[in-house]
Amino acid sequence: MKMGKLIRDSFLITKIILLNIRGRLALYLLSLFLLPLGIMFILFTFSTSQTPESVMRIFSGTLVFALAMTGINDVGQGITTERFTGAVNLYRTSPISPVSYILAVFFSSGIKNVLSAIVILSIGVLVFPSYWHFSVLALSFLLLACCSFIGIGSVIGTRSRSIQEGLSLSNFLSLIVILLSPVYYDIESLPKLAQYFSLLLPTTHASQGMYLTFIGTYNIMTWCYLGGLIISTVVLNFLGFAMVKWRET
Amino acid sequence: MGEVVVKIKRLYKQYKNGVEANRGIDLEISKGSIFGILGPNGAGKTTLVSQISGLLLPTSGSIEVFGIDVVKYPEKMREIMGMVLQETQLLSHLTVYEHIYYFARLRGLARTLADKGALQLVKEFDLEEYKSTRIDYLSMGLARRTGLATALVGDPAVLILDEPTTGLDPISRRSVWKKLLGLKQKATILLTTHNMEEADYLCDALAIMDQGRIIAQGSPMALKQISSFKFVLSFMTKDTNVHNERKLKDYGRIEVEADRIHVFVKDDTDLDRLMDFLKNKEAAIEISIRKPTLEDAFIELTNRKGRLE
Repeated sequence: MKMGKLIRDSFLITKIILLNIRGRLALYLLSLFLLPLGIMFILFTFSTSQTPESVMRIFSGTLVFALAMTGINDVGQGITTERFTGAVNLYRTSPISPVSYILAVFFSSGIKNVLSAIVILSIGVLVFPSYWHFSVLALSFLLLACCSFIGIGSVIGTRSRSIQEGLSLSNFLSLIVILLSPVYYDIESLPKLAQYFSLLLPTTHASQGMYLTFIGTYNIMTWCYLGGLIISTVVLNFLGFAMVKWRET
Repeated sequence: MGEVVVKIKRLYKQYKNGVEANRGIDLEISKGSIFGILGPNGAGKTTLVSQISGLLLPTSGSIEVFGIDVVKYPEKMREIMGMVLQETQLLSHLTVYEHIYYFARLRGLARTLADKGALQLVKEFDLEEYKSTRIDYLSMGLARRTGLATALVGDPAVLILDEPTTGLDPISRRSVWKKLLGLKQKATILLTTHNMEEADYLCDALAIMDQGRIIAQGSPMALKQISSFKFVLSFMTKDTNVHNERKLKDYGRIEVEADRIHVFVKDDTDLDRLMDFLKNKEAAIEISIRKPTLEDAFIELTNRKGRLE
């Protein structure tokens, strides 16, 4: 398969996937941000102090929450629905590589993720302009978080055995990975055993890493979180790509 | 028989759960023909077309389509085929035009060619009125036509249709049949169906499948002649016990369908004798005589009418 065709097909399928939200774009975007933004405002309402650290903790947590909801839920449910309503079969009977399809899922979800991130960051920068430390490393955490969450969504979507299973798993896992990792607080606040477990989740590496970079701390832990996120991104996306079956056995 | 473009040899498919869906299929299909695969539900038709289209890996055997080894190179098969899957599966959020256009683009057509091709197919399939209508707002008949039009973008050499008219009303079904007959010049068509009328009307050649095997093969005319009966005499009667009479059974096989009784008769002599018998009994009204249909031959071959839809 030629690279040019692979990329062109990916963009065409991305466009086809994104056409699904035309006419209800505003409502769709609102559904992406509503829950994370709601939680963010609740946390601000109840927080006793608004130091740069506490504000950045809430914003990094909100970003991870929003990206995980879009990446895991949206991708998991999207692929499941496409598999069990026949859309994937249409692609399978066309001269398209499975890589093009997964890349398209990646791109379309990536676009939604970028929109989520822009909205949350814009609010943050507008309200607390002097608290932020933007860097290439912070951007890397954002991108890698998007990619690893999409990877989880891809695995759910490609492995689910029914539409109900896919939808439930996406909902359940997106919440579980958020609740079991220290998204809105420091990892040290967790019991020792829970700390070890949470290190298996990309949400932990993403939230802790984003927090550290947003407050301008670049220590050994920042790099460890980056390494953890890179590993989970590679593993999850490899699994997501490998599990797409273009020919059943 | 024209140039053979589809060659299937000793094709076996056993699923992981142990079900043997195809058991030693041998098949040859000529270029430019409509080849039908007939069979009751669960006969293995969908498994067979899934393997031919490269969607399913056979357990053993070979499949060659236009010189392509489909088992080894399924991706090459996708370049020369168009397919309409069972229960029309379309991207329901797209409009009719968009659906055809995007799949034309995915088949490698440039923007202008894809646009031109999509508009032409919209016209050919009488979909102009619905060009900008989202597929989820279409009737099943229109959706089927959209599916067929999509399968035809890029002029595929082989068109594979899995039960293309299931669930359609008679008018929509006839409309799809008309389109398919018109496509014979462009592509070799392989279709599965359990509609005997459809198979008889459309197909140049047929294979009847049952329990994973091909049990008969030939033209619809040849398959009708497989029947060991020459005539089917049907009548209505007020005497509900008439079909139980031993005498009646002597003339041939009997089938009771609601208030009609069908007697399958082997020759002219038996037919005359049966007519005399019914005349003497004065029990029969609305007598009709016809030749055996494809369905009759099918039932005789599979001997399992209860399974037919």
